[in-house]
Amino acid sequence: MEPIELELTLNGVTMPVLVLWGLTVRSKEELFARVHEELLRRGQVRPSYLEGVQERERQYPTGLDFGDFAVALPHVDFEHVLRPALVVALLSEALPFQAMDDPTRQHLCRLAIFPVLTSGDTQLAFLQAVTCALQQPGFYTRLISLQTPQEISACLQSMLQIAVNEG
Amino acid sequence: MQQAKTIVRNEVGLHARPAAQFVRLANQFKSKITISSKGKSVNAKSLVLILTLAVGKNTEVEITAEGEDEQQAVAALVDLIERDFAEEALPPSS
Repeated sequence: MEPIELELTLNGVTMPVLVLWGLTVRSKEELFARVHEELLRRGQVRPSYLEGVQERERQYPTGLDFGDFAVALPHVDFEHVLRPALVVALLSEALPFQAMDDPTRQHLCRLAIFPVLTSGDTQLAFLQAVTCALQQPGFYTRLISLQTPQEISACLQSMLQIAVNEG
Repeated sequence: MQQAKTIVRNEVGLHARPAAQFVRLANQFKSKITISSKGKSVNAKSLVLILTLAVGKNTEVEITAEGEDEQQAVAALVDLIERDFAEEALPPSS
């Protein structure tokens, strides 16, 4: 599927959301390079983003375990970001990410959500939204089974809305 | 049972990196530990649950521990927050 471009609101900030659905990549490095390329082309990040996201993942891994599945949330420091955005990548094959809370463990992740943000408040709202939504029974299974841009857009907006309701 | 309140001073609150530090430290203790903020209380040993709290800068949190090392657990976790997550505290030597 071609990249899907959406515009969604998180914590009062409207931002582009780039959806890479069914992405085939062989490594984290390839995934990060693809995300960097897409963000750079759209003027969302500085050229330093790629090195920034790779280094951040090495130092502070982001594989997050939800029990039946795991999700990667590759972060980057604000200095590499020009304008806030989110990238949601569903991989055709899961990739291993080290666990956020225990780098000696690895989780296989098919879903990677990249917060490309410029403020701490929005970062917290993002983490709250993602963790609350993915804990809901069936949410992850439903999300990864979606096929059309309209369905994906509605599902992601409902996920981000959780931050507003919980906050 | 031991309890203590403190305030998160970290510039971006209890986001992924400090929350992960907090959970790693909490898991070094045997006690049952919870962290509460804004009227919601969660298991302090679960990163996912802590992230649902969205603890921002200058937000008060309460840490509660119950078990054989409850005193050390609360002291170490409060210390980590008050040192602004500068480095991880060491677990008790016992």
